[in-house]
Amino acid sequence: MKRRKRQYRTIKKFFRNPLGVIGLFLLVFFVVLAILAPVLAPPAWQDEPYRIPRDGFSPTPKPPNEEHPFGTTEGQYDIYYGIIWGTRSAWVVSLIVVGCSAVIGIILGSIAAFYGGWLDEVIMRITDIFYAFPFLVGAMVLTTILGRGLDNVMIALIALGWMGYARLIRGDILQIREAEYVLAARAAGAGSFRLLTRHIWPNAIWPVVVQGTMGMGSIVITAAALSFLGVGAPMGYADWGQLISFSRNWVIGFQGNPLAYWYVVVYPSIAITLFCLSWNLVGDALRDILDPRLRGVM
Amino acid sequence: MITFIVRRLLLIPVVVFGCILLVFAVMQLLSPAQRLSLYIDNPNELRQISRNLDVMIHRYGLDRPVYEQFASWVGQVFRGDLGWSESAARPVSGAFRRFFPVSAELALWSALPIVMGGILLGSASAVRHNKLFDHAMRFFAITGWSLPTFVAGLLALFLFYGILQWFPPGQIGITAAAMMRSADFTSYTGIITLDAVLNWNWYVFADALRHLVLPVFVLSLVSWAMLLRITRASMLETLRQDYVTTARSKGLSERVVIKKHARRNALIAPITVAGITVAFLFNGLVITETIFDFHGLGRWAARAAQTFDLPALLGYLLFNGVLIVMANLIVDILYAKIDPRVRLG
Amino acid sequence: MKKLLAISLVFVFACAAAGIAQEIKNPDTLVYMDYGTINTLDPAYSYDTASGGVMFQVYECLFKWPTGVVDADERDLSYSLAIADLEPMLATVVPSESNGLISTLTDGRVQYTVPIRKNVTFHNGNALTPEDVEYTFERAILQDRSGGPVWMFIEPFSGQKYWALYQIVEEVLGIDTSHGDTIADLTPEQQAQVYAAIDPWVEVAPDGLSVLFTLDGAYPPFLSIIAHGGAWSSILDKEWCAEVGSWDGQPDTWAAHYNPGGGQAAEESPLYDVANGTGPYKLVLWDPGVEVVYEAYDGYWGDPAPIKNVVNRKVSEWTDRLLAFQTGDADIVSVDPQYVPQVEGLPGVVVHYDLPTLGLNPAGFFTSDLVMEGNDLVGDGQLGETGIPANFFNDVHARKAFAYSFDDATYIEDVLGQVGGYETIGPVPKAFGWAYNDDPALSYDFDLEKAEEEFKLAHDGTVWENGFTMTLLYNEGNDARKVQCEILELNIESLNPKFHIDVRGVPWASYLDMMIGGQMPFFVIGWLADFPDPHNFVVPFAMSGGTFSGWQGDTLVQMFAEKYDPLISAAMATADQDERAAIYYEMQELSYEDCYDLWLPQSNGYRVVQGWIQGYAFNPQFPDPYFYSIDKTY
Repeated sequence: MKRRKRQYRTIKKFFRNPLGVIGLFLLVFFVVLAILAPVLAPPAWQDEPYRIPRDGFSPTPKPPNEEHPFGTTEGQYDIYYGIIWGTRSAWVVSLIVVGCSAVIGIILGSIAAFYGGWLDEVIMRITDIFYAFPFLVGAMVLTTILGRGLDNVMIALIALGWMGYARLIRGDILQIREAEYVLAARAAGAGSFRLLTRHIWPNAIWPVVVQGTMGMGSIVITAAALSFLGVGAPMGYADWGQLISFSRNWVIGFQGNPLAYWYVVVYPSIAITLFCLSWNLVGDALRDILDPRLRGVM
Repeated sequence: MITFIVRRLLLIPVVVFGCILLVFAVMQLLSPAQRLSLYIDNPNELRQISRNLDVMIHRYGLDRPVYEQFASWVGQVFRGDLGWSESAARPVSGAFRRFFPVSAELALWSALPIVMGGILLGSASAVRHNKLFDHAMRFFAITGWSLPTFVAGLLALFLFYGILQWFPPGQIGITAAAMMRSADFTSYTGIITLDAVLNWNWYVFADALRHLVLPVFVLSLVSWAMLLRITRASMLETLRQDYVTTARSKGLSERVVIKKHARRNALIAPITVAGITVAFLFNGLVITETIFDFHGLGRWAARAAQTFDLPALLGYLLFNGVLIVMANLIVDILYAKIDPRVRLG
Repeated sequence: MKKLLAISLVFVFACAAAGIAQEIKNPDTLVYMDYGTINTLDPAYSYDTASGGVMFQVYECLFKWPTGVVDADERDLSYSLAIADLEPMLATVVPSESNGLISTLTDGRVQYTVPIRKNVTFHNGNALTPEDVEYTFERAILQDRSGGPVWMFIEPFSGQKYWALYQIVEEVLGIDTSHGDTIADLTPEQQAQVYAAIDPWVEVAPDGLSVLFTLDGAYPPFLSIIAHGGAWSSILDKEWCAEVGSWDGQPDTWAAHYNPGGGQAAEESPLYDVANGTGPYKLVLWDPGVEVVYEAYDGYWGDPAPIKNVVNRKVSEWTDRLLAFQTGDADIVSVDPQYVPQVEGLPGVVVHYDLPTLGLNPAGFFTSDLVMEGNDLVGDGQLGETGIPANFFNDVHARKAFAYSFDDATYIEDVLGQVGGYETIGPVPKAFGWAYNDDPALSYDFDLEKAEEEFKLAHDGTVWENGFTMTLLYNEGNDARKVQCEILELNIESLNPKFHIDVRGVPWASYLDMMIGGQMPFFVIGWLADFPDPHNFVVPFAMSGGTFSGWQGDTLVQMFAEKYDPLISAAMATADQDERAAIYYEMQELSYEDCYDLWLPQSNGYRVVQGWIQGYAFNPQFPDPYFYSIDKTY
């Protein structure tokens, strides 16, 4: 009874936060876009829906027209198709990467913080070893060896991305462990597991949640960066990063019309930016609402 | 404290060699012939290479087992020889000497805006929670965070150089470069702005600064946004803590409340993130240096990754590893300083 | 006063609006931005265009090619690639039959007498002497870097008997050092013996004023090999080379300098990062990967260079180069063909289209007798819908079918875009007008009907009946190659639903590996001219031991050995151009019948020039640009 009332109040509060609502709306929009991809942009090859159809081979982008509502990139890849199906790849990549990294990070970080001692030491050293890998360069090395392809990109990003979550939750747990309410609960005789699940995690997890929502957007940007640098999704794969990398040499048009190829840059940029933005807005709003300290204030 | 620090420092070699061994292992996924063929970029050269493939492979020890190759690399390093970087066309140590100051200059000039801006504006924003200032800062941060840096960079270049001709790409202009080559200019550090000041050459200083504006802006953007948000979130949380409310109810001024009680605790999460920011910065360098034509570590490392320049990658890992471990160490020490409840070791 | 101000303002704006006279920035410095990687400054070591480009400016050779001019005001294509038109550079006269400086000795050897110019100094002040010339060639031959350019000396000098030093060592000493290891262990006596074998090739004439080049057999293109444009023929200063640690010129000390770094470690050569030539520019600094800086040499024997300083910056981001070009900060930038439209309309900029090029790049190759082990490009390896057998391209009909399936017109229009291109056959490039057989019947035009016919004939009809599956590869990042594969995929799959072609991108390393390893049924690569003679092309494309032809599998290699090797040798046995042309014509007719390669359309040459660039010399043989020829003025 109490819990349902609390949840109801939480949801109501969320909808009172305008920026959060906008973020949520955008997210829903992206979900719908992803689900409706086969309808909005029917694939040219049934068994390869992520292969962007090519209308010829010319190396110069062509502006939006009836056949190609967002225009085409160098090599005549249809931008509209790329954006629509790229929504799917964006969801897949961000969910899997953030999900896996967060899970790994939380588990390791909690163990380290809660038990302390040599276990903490070992886990933190392992974290350090992975930290010692320069993220982007490490991802590039891995993808160059494993080959291009989003699955390899995901492996690389997970392998090199869980440490932030581990450290964050460990830091928070360390702090909270000594907080008064935890000490009080312990004095009252609460066991370790109960302490962890009832008192520590619910409070320690929020920065991780915020980090996670920021991660959703930043993973998409990092994957785009990898495509920009020539590793990442293969050429012609429906992925926003791929589309952005196509735009690299067309930022400046020609004399008399410096913004001639605006569509190659603008559409993919908007897609990535909005996706990232929406996650950040939602994350921000969630943080403001779910933080127990602020419940009374809002 | 001292024992803690010493113990951490002793762990540096463990950590660093750990990841280098990992790299060797991963490298084995490529066949020796594939690794060798990366040295060839002119098809006319292939004439004799294909006859001598086995010889080449043997000469470079590419057919020896992992641990042998690793051991020989370690031996080399202890003799002070980090090997030759194909992608940089110079010894690895030479590559560091040439490229590190460039990245350092970018990072140093970016550090101020990032840290000051992020932490100060973040806490200011938290204090003015839900007022216009807060909303504005949040909006800036979120947008800065969401925009792909290379797009922002290229557009900035287009606007500020192509149209306005204010801030060119590259590290230094032709005339200033000629000045630096002349006999009355000594490059003490390789960091151009610093050297210019030491040589009392304001033309070079101004020119270098002019070339730094855009890359520093792009580099700072993402880190600054992230730091601002984390600081704000953490600060907000702290401000609602009981001890803060207690302090307020005691009648202490808001400023004292913030300075003495809130900020210290609020800084724990941001400091963690600041540590992450160092790593972040080096990733940002890769793209920033590529777009703005700065010949720094990031760009070299990226090229080394794309072409499997093994000595370069290992050297870079070594350097990066030491840097990160040191940064984390400093973070942990700061933790201890700020929160007396956190005991080290 | 106000009126004057107003008028001058109007004038300034009018000028700006009309794009007249964009101010020339850095008037005494030429700024060149490109992105090639320079590997070495050792002339005998280098074999790539970027490195060659540096040596082109600071070193000189015995002869030079006449050039045309393609700049902001002029388009003069009066260059030449004919030996008869060569001009003296460090030589004072170009040897020819008519001036008696080429003679055939009684034992059949051919001797060139080259008088050397006097009063020429190197950048370090030393004088140029005929001994320097002798040293330059001997040093190159005795270094013979593996994978390097020196085969171009050894082949003519040895009368086409050898192409590498180790073969000479084997002949003289009887030691098999075919993998190069034991040459470093040769005793001084052994070294002297080898030296004695090569010494007669290049000698200072008895009068001490000329150099005698004595070839063991006729080699018609010889003079073009040592003309300016080929970095390997850059004349070095003997004393300086010894000073910086290279060979001292003695007969028994050269082995220590042989094949530095096994041919894959350029930095092992003492000449790796230093340069001392006779050229109009001297090297100020080389910051690998970053920039090269030159300064005019005021002791130059000819007219001084018009521009005092040259800065060559390596800028890999196209947008940076474009913006620098636009603002005038860069005078010359390298423009990839697809970006030409972006520079075309810039005020004052002139784009010259349809310039001749000297290469067969790209070209498509079929592989017979595929290596099947570990090969994932051939499906199940059987003659059926799910794969191809090792001998798929052994059958000429299969090859012809592919040749008919390539849509040249679409490729030229779509891919080569504004710059355009032309169709060609091989193995002699179109640029050699005198040897190129332009009979239209010799070309496989795009014709899907004929392709179908050929497929039906392939492997006695089994290909058509059963179908096949194969994978075509491109190296990641190379969109042109991707498109070539996709054009084939599109057209071939349209003929028969049982034909399946997969197109896949792989890293360059893998591409190279599989290509050399004989695993790719079809691969694409190209050749740029070393020296302007058809021989330089027919060898890699049609000789049994040729660079590319050698990878095409046993059956095709056998065919090359039987049919083409004799023709190739015959074409070099005579200096008569008409005789040679007839042989090359025959070779091209045979190439049509055998269809061992798919000749892809070639891109046209082009040049993009700022409005203030004058005098920019042009010759397709050059590693563009030639700084000495350029001036910055309107």
